[in-house]
This record gives sequence, structure tokens and C-alpha cells, in this order.
Amino acid sequence: MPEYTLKVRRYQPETGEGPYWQEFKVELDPDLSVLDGLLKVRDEQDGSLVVRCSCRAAICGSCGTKINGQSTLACKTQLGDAQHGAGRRAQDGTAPIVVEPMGNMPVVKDLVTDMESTHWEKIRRVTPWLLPEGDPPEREYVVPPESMIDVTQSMACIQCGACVSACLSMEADPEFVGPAALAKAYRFVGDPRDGQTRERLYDLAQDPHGIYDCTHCFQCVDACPKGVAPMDQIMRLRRKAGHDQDIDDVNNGRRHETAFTKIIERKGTLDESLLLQESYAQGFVGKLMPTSGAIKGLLGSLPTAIRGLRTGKMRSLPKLIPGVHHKLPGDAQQHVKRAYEHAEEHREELNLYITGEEEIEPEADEAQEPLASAVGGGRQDMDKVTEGGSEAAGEAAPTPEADVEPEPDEEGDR
Amino acid sequence: MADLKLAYWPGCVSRGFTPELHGSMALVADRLGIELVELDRANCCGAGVIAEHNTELADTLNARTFALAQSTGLAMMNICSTCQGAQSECQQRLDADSAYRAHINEALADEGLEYEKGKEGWTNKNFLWILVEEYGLDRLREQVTRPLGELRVGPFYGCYILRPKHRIGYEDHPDRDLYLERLIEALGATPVEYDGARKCCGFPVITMNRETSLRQRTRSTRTPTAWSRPARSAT
Ligand code: SF4
Ligand code: SF4
Ligand code: FES
Repeated sequence: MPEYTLKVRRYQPETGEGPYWQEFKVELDPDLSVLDGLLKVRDEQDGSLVVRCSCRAAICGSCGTKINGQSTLACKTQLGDAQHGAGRRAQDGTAPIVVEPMGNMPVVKDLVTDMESTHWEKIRRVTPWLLPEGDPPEREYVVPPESMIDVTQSMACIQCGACVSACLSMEADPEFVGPAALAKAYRFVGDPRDGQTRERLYDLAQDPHGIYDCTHCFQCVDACPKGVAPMDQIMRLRRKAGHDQDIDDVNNGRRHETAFTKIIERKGTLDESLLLQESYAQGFVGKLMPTSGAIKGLLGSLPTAIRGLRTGKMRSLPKLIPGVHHKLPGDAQQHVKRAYEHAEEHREELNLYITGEEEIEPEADEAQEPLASAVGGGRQDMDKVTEGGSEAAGEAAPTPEADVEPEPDEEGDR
Repeated sequence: MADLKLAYWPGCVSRGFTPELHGSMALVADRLGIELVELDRANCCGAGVIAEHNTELADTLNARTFALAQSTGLAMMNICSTCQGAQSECQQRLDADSAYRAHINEALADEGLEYEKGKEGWTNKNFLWILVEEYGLDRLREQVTRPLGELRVGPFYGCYILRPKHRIGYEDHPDRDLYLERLIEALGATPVEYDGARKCCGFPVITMNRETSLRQRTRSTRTPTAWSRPARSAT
């Protein structure tokens, strides 16, 4: 059996000492998990090592940890893979597997973090229960199955906090509502039985630390062991708030997004000066009166532009003037407009979590040309993505094989 | 010896606030004999922002760019982390469902364009990936006339070219998050390890939450690596 070195970040507050690193060696099968390794250390070498776990099968969400810097579940990470990851980065196959408590949370002891203020409080912040309107029906609620399947992805959350640990907006702004809570918000916004959809969206758009405080860093998508892809849920909340409900947010997020989209419709490529202006003060040059906030924002961004000029980054002054920008040649812009008309008419939203992906055609994969491997063609590494995607399934309306798990979040706090 | 010929999407920022992006790439590509056919009719990738408005629109716009590239018969290259990520996201959806793909292609038919899934030899890769995977670091090393010697360089990748891993080809190329370090070494300089190398620059929220954004920038550029420093007492 191979031997692994676990480099664990320890913290034992009652000693009065600060955190320190300690290395342990364990002999275990590579298929066993990092959690198995930690428990073996605790059982055989150091009974004071504190680890939180329960199910050991990626179900309970107790064992959120950082392994080689990646927030994840200790019970879902195999030792062999963790060793490979550690070695790859250090260019040394024997480099220790680095195990730390989750980030963005106070550490209670060793690998155990306090999730109250950074996770549970935020989950409660989004009112994580159904608020139906009117009297309940005599019997059960009847809803179209598709609409429930739509929320299964956010229902798959096991509240492990790995996404919160990894979140880069949370790191900069501890008040950010955060990936897990916002994914949970989508679970209710998307539920047809809920009667407070607009109020929920309005609330999250009016909070400066709400849906428009996410920096789009994808950390939560990579961290989540259950394929919830919290960032995708946040973007859906933005689409629902901005487009479906016509809600303007305090962070100017919708204004920015609308300006961006309009500029591409008009010009095909992004005119950054125009975007800077329009994001803060839409219609500044047009008929609309800008708000005082918009003027402040625009003035606030000037130092950035001027600094750019001074350092010679923006070569020429014209680049600063909105509207002086590269145009697409010939009739290309007409065709971009055509793409807009078509897409705005349909607004189809393909959710890969539900439809799964088609098989990759083998020829494309096996061709020997140096450029033949399809970028981004890999399957999603998700527990619940259906294996569907036979040619037939792709042609017909997607048949979701909803293996809906019972919802874990209504069982109350652990 | 132009043994690499590619359809080139310059992106928007290289025509705006960041002209050095195109300029430096063009000098290097020329020296290495990489021939580029510029896609001057192609459009913005949407930078994730258009997808936030309407995913079908983002997919259609990028399908158009892909189709323009495919019509040249050449694989495609971009020079921007955000372009790579936003385009890979759309490509994943386009490739996932043939009915959806056919629907999107309807919008391109007027222009005589069609995005074809899995077209032989067609990929969309960032210049960094082209340098490492297609040109090769060994060949690159041979081209170095003045090694960067004493220079210590901290790599900064950008989120979109790193995550999410399942979408941007890490199954086939698991070391893409180490290419900058390898490139820096190949040019004779020393890569500096620091915590921010794979964090966010904060730009996506600069117009929305200035404070969050600027704090992210500061954290990305200032923090030494947690792995190389002794643990601090305050956690
Ligand atoms: S994408 Fe948004 S929510 Fe997810 S980790 Fe990044 S900042 Fe946080
Ligand atoms: S969204 Fe994923 S990573 Fe976040 S708490 Fe839920 S299961 Fe854990
Ligand atoms: S121990 Fe239950 S999720 Fe890891």
C-alpha cells in the first residue's frame, strides 16, 4: 500500500498557540479518501486531531475542507488523486497533500470551522422556505414536472460550505450573501408554488451585497461537490430580476449589462469608453437625465481612465471618447443584428444539468491532428448529470431523467 | 516556415484600452512563424455579461464567430482569458444538444454560416495554450536569444481560463493552470509563487461594487502564498 504524507494545518486554541503545520504519514489504498487518512491519523497517531464528518459518502456535507488549496469534501477526494494534485503543482510526486480548514470562516479547532455567521445566517437571510400565495389547495399542489426539475440543481446542495470557502467575493466582502445562499434563493424563486418571486428578487437586487456582488470567478462552480454550480444560479437570478421582472438594482448591475448588450448590437465589438459612460449614466448624451449616483460613478471612474492615459496604456485620446470605435466591415453588423432578433425572440435557456450532453463523436476525439482535441468538449463532472445524449435523445425534446434526491435542506440544522 | 496557421479572433479590449495585448502577441507570433488570419467580421464574445442577459444570444453570437472561423478551414485562436472562457461556455452548450444547435444555426443561415460540432481539426485555443500545446516549449526555448535571467515574474491567469475545469478542457490538458509558470521558466526567468496568481482581478464587479472589486484586486496582487509562509496566529 502506498504511503501518503498529510500536511495538516492545526489550530488548538486552548494551548494559546497560533496555527501550525504538522505532517503525518499514513499507509492506505489510493482509492480511499483523504478523510479516511485523517481518521486513521486520529485513531492511530494523534487523538487530538479534530475533524468533522458523519456520512463519509458525500451526503451529509460535514467534511468541507481545503485540499491542496481546493475547497472540497474530504470524503469525496481520493488519496491517489490528492497526491497527484499535490505532486503536479510542486513538480514533485512525493510532495505532501496539504489539508486546511475551509476559508472565509473562523476556525474553531484544527479542521473544524464555524459556519454560523458565514453560511447559516446567510442561508436564513434568503428566506429558505416556501411562501405560497392564497389558501393552500384542498389536496396537494399540482405543478408541471419541468418546473420542478428546473430547481433540482439548486436542491442538490448539501450545505457543505465548500463554495463559501472558495468564494472570492466573500473574501473581499464578508457581507456578500454568497454562493450557497443565492443558489438556495434560486431554489425558491424558480419554484412555481412560491408566491413571492418578485419580492425575493427585488430584495436580492436592492442589497448591495446581493446578486450583483458576485465577481463571476467560477470558484464555487469548481468547489461544489454536488454540481449545484452556484454561479449559474446567480446568473439565472440576474436574468429573472433584470429581464423578467424589470427590476433595477442598487449596484447598477442591470444597467451595465443592458449597456453592454446594446453596444454589441450597435457595434459588434465592445466600445469600452461607451460602456464606462453608459454603465453609470445611461442616456447621458441622450434625452434621459442621469441620476446623481450615475454622475458620481462616472466621475469616480475618471481617475482610472486618466491614469491609463498617463501610463501610456491608452495610446490615444480618441479611445477615451465614447463612440469612436472600430466598426465591423461590410454587412457584418446587419448579421449581428439578425442574431439579436432571433435570440431575443426565443430566449431559449439550455440547462445542461437537466439535458445532459450528447456523446462526443469518436472521430473528432481520435483524429491525430495536433489541433484535434475539442476544447471544452469534456463531460461535466457532476453526480447527477444524466448520461443521456444518445442521438435520439438529442433530437427529441430533452427527456430529463430526474433522479430527484429528497431535499436535504428542510431537515433543519445539523 | 508557417507550420501553424490559425483563424485569429483579436477580441474587443485589444482594440480598446489594452492594445498591448494584440501588439505583443503579433510580434511573438511573427517571430515564431505562426500565421494568423484575422476574423474581422466576428463579434464580441459577450464576456459572460450577455449570457447574464440572455444565454441564447451569447450562444448565437459565439456560434457566429466559430462559424466564421470554421469557414476559413483553420483552427481558431484568441488572446484573452475572458474570450476563452465565455466562448468555451457557449461551445459547451452548442455541442451538447443537436436540436439546440440547429435552432441557433437558423440565425446564421442568412449569412451562409453554420457552426459544426466536432469539425475535424477545429478547436478554439488561447495563445498561451497554442504556445504550449501546439508550438511546444522545447521549440520555444530554442528561439530564446536573450534569456530573461534575473527577472522574477508573478503569473496572473484570469478566472475564465482556469475555471470551471470541466468546461475548458482540463480533462485532456490537466496542466493548463501551470502553463504560465512553465512559459516563464522556458524564457529563462523565475516564476514567483503568490496566492493571487489564480484569483480574481475584481474587474467584473468594478461598476457594481467598487469596494468589493478593489479589495479583490489588492488581495490578488499583494498576498504572499499561504503555502510558503508560516501560519499566522490570527485566523
Ligand atoms: S462566482 Fe460569484 S458566488 Fe461563485 S465563488 Fe465567485 S464570486 Fe463567489
Ligand atoms: S452549493 Fe455545493 S458547495 Fe455550496 S454548500 Fe451547497 S453542496 Fe456545498
Ligand atoms: S462526511 Fe458527509 S459529506 Fe463528507
